[in-house]
Amino acid sequence: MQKILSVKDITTDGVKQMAVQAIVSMMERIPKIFKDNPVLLKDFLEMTFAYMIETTEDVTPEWINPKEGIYI
Amino acid sequence: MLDESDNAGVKFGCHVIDRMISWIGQSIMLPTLSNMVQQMMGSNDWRFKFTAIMSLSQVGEYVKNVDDIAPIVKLVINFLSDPHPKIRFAACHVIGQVSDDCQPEFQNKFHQELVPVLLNKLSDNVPRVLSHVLAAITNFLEGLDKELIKGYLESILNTIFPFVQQGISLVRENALSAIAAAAESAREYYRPYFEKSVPIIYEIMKTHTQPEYKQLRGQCIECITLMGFSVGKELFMKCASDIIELMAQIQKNDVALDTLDPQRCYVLSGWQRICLILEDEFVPYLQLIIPPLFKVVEHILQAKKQVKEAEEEASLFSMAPEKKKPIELIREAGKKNNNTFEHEEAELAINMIYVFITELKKSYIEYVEPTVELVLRALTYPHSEKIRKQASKCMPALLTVIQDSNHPNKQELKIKLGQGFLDALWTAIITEFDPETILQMVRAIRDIIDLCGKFMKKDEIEETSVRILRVLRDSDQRKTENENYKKEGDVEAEELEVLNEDNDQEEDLHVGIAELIGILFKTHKELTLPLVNVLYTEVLTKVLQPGLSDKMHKFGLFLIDDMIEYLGIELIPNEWPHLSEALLKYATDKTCFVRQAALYGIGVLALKSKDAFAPLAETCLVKILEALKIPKGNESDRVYGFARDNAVSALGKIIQASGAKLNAEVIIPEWLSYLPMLYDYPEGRKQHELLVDIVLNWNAALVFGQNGERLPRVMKILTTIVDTKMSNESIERKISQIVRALLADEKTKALLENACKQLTDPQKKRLEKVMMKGMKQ
Repeated sequence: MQKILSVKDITTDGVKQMAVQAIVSMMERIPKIFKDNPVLLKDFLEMTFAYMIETTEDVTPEWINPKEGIYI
Repeated sequence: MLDESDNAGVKFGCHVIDRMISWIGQSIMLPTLSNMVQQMMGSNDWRFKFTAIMSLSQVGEYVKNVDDIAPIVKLVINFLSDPHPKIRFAACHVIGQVSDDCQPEFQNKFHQELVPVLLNKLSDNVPRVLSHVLAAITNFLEGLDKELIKGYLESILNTIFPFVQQGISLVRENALSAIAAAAESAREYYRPYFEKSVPIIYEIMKTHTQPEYKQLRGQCIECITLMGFSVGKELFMKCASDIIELMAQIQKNDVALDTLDPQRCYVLSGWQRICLILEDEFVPYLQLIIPPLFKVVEHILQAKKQVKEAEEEASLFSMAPEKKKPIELIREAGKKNNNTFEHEEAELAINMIYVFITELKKSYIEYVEPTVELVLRALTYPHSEKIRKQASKCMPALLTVIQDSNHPNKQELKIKLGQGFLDALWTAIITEFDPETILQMVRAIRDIIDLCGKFMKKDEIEETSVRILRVLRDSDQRKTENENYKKEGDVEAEELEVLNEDNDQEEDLHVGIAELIGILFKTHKELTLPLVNVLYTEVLTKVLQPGLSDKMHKFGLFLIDDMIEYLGIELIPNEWPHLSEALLKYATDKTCFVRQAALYGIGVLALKSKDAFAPLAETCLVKILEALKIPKGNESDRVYGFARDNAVSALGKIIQASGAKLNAEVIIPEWLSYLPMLYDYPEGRKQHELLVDIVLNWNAALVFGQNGERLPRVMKILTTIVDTKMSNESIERKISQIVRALLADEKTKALLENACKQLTDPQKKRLEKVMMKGMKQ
């Protein structure tokens, strides 16, 4: 999973999201693995932040000034 | 607060962090998160800071003491002035989310710092950030106490109203939300601003007819009706007609049925609010509103063909459930799939119908017929238990409308409709899988039978009994399966918790079934004897075993209470002694609600046993007095109070039933020492009436004492209950008679005057009031 998340040229963010999703599902099923292993927990949190940073979009004119009725 | 367009990846990441804190625990996660956030804050890359700030929004839910948030507040206030708009946006996001998660403690602690800062940030020149400042203000105001918002209201409205009237739609929508939140929190303090606010919002509703302003118009409806709710009927009436007509026009002409339209949701909750504000004054508008409204509801309740497939697809990427506001639901619905929104809309629709039925009562009679169709459709709505539960609640409410109406054939109509509802409910129960929903349906069946009275024939009662026993057996089977699964081993702690919760719900269902059976006994007496036989031989012996749970004991005791109360010794003479034994056994149970059920049963046993009670009286008295001496322990006042009240009530019923055969000189003072009853109002009223009846009709000296030594105590009891739910007109009329009789004799007058000296000022006032009322009668 770490490998998937560290690859730079995966443009389909769905794949990386699925990797994070898979780990968090595992964590929910067997939280003990993460509770007993602070390094693993820290690595996963770092991966999550890395994913968030990577998917953070730059400021665009559309973001600054959304069009009328944007949510309809 | 955060929608897909703001950044899907960040939103997803925030949910993951939330799930990590939830599953790993805050003691491990929060220090780890804090270290990482601090490192990221030091980065020169704005994206690191942005992500770190966003992650802080997940912390509020897990902070036990709001003081611990102070460093975060300080940090985000600084970031509200950051040169980068996304950092300012993230800071607003944290304030909004924490306001929501930690209300009202967060608001109580930080209002002096945050309200001025947030109002000041409305000068932000980036519309997206500005809209998020308004969203943060909305969340903050939603949790602000009315006494706290009062001082800020003028400046909040002066600063925000200009944004309602100008700028991009997103800013205007969020400004409306903020005004609505201010009005909702301020309640009656909004009155001075209401008449100035309404024309502004009304004008937007009227003029912004383009499709891109559907959301804006919807929010106008929400805002104006929330304001009305806060200011009350009198003030709202001044503009009600114009608002209702415009809403009806929007509903009829502009609300789309076949495409997603945010206005639908707002119209439904808007009508619900107006109905609650105007009550009967809403009736004249129903003809205008209901026909097109029911078309909308009918459309919403139509099950969507692709919903199931789409739900399965969505669940692959599902995130932890969270409480959502209409605006968020609408936005999310607009982005991905519409299912959640549609369920939410359907829930709003059925809730609105329930409010109409229960608020308008007999005035709703004209609309019963079309409502029946909608309610039956909602009962089988496949995708939401909430809707099926609410539909069940609507059914007895509709019968009450008929019962209270002036309809010429109301009795036949009520029974015919009641039978139709019962058929639908029994059919729905067969396919229902959720025990909570089954319980609601069972309660609806109970209330329908109670409303219709004795209307079933022998074969129908037999069929009903078979159905009841099947629900009971199915519930038992689910419980056993859960228990077996637990024993299989390898069950995670969380899974175990879910299984225990499920079984707890099954036991609640058992209690609900006992209440339904009780109503059958009450209404159909001897026709239920075959059912009694099954319950007596197969069910009671099983559920009253010592090792079973308290709720199962309560279930069994409820059945016994109702057998005794509604069937009486004449119909079940052979079972009577064993039923009495069970009540005595549990009368001193350590669990309040079990004890309460048994003590209630002893009370009715005293009243219903006739001559057969004499040999039981002494044992019952001993048990009751023992129960009254059980200490409160860790139980809440209310739960303990109910058990205690039922013990006192049982004592009173023994006095009532035994009369002269009892050692009244001892028992009555004991009973008096526990009065008044403060929790169980219906039982309390019965006992307080018994008290005045003994004085007036039996033997006043037994109550007051031979030399009037208990008169001060009695006067305290009587003046405590006057003008409360523990009393009623009949009791108060009798109190007045007693006082007049005491005043008529010089000796008793002096005793009464002495007793009254010991009363508090409020007690004296209540006595004066009751005497004034008595003089008029």
